[in-house]
Amino acid sequence: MAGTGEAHLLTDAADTVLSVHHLQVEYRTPGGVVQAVSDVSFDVRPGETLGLVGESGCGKSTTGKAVLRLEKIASGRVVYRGEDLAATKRGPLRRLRRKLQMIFQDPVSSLNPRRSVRELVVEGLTIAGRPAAERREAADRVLADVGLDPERFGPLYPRQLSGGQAQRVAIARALAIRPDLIVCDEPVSALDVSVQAQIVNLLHDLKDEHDLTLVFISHDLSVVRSVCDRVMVMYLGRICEVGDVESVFAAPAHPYTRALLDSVPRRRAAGGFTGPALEGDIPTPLDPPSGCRFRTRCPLATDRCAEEVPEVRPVGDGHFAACHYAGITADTVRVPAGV
Amino acid sequence: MTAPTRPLLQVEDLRTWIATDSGPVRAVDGVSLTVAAGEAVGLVGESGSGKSMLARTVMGLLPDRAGTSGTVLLDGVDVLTASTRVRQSLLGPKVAMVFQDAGRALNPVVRIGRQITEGMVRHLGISRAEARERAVGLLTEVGVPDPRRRLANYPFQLSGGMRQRIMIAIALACEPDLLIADEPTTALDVTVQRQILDLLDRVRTTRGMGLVLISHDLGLVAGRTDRVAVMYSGRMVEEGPTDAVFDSPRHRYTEALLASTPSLDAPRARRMRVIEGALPDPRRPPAGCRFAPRCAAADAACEVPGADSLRDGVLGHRHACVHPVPPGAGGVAADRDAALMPADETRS
Repeated sequence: MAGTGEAHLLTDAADTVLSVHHLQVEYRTPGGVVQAVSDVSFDVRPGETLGLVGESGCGKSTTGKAVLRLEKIASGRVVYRGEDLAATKRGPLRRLRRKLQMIFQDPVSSLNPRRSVRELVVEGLTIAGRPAAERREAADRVLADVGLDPERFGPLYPRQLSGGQAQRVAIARALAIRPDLIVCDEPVSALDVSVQAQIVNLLHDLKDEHDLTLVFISHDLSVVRSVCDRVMVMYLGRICEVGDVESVFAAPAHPYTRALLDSVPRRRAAGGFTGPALEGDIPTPLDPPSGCRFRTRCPLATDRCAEEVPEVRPVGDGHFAACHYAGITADTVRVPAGV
Repeated sequence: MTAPTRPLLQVEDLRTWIATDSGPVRAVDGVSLTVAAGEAVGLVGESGSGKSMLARTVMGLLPDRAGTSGTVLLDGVDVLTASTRVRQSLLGPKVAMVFQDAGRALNPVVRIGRQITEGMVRHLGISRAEARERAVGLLTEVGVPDPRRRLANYPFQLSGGMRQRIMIAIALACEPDLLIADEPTTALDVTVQRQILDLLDRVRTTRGMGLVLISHDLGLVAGRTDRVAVMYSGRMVEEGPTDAVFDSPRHRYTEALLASTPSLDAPRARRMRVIEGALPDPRRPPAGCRFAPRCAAADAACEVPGADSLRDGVLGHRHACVHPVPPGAGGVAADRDAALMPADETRS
């Protein structure tokens, strides 16, 4: 996982909506500086949905926030349609941010409890100083877009909404200022299955209607598989694997991706799982392992993995992995399932 | 079904309601469920289905505002009418529970060692020293490295996965016949969830313990239970052998729930099947079938009170649907091929 490098980036930056180079985000903690995101590069192509997956502490949410500069970028570049957001001053950044929106996991607590739905969805326009008539029109339009009757839901407050309705309001709010790219941070994780499907379909429809590009952050591999075009797997602040959803899920090249997929409970697998369990816990980010950060839990790890940080390299068509032994199936080296 | 003379847990027509300012919330509304010794039963449903309230009723962990009717026989003793003393004597040796959030279920200011030994000293009547030795054994069993040193730790010093292992050790301390695990892995990362599920399987098999696994995650319950019960809005809508329910769901809700759950095995579809609408108000549930307002197959017959009583089927596969899905029509498509393969044999 300890992946660095840029082999997976498109050569022509004009083909991307967003291009992130060597992104580094750090947190100061009482125990020292934590590199939450460490030398991560990726690009987002027009009209695609890019999934960011990984477990807690892998840096997926921090990456999502850093793209909108909601986190301080320690180093690296975040290029949105030719402009480096990391180097943009506050004024121009505000203008650019209207093109970049974010939706959060907990829909109810991400909305101001003292504002009505009608006010909430057009807050962005209010800040931009748009006239009241335009705001009213926009509120009606976006609420209808997300399937909420403006008459019925407009006067309500967040606490009167169900989780699914609140998430619809959060989406409407992002849409109101006509964004280009929306970063969705675990948008369906707090929702029940039946509601989750409604929101996933809604995002899918809105993406087509409004020409949106999505970055979809989730820990749920099954949801990512059905929602995303490409997926990037992260571990402890670094990239493990990037590629088309179909190839990554069908033939994971990185041992961590494989272990993640093997950990999803499956109905038809013997014992409920398709492969052996990973040993141990995620190491502390205060003192990440040298070389490949996944090596302490990796069934394939050798001395080389402790010494050399693996670079992202191609393992197939549009499919890249940051592992010295990418593509070697664990079966060849696999130890008996240590269950 | 290998039904012994007296089931370990027998819930009959249980109703649990909670008083609120706007009337009682009927959290569990006429549910019956039995668990045989050594059996693993899954209890699935979305939030508001009543699955956790059912477990809490069995454990006697209801808030003061709650009321109950019906019977909950735990090894023949009705826990709803038993005295506090009798009930407490059952908690631990007969039944124990593992909660979703181990971080909050553990006492933050008490060392792990005391939290594990407390119940043993009280219920098993053994000395503190002996309980400590047993605690070391338990922590080894649940896969906590360096167990002797861990006894001196406080919960905050451990990771989420380790805390859940400690919770399981505490639950196992008095060697319960039945373990109720309420969303035991929901707060955990997927690779850690995997470790905990494997652990639960292992202790269940080695100890011959009964298990009620409560989860909103259908895939999780599918691979590791003998029978499964599906709840919706306080009612049980379907119940039967796990494979039968998942391969050929009969109730329209079960079928819709399965179809709207994304899975790694199903064909990749951009649009997901949705269940339109929302749960009914639990204070004023519709007469008849509670799923009817969201069901495409519903008609006037579904609104007749009592329409959602459970109907018997083959091999104990029961459902509460007036217009059931034809047998064999509702399983997840991709699984149909997989079903030809002899899977599941290796399951404990």
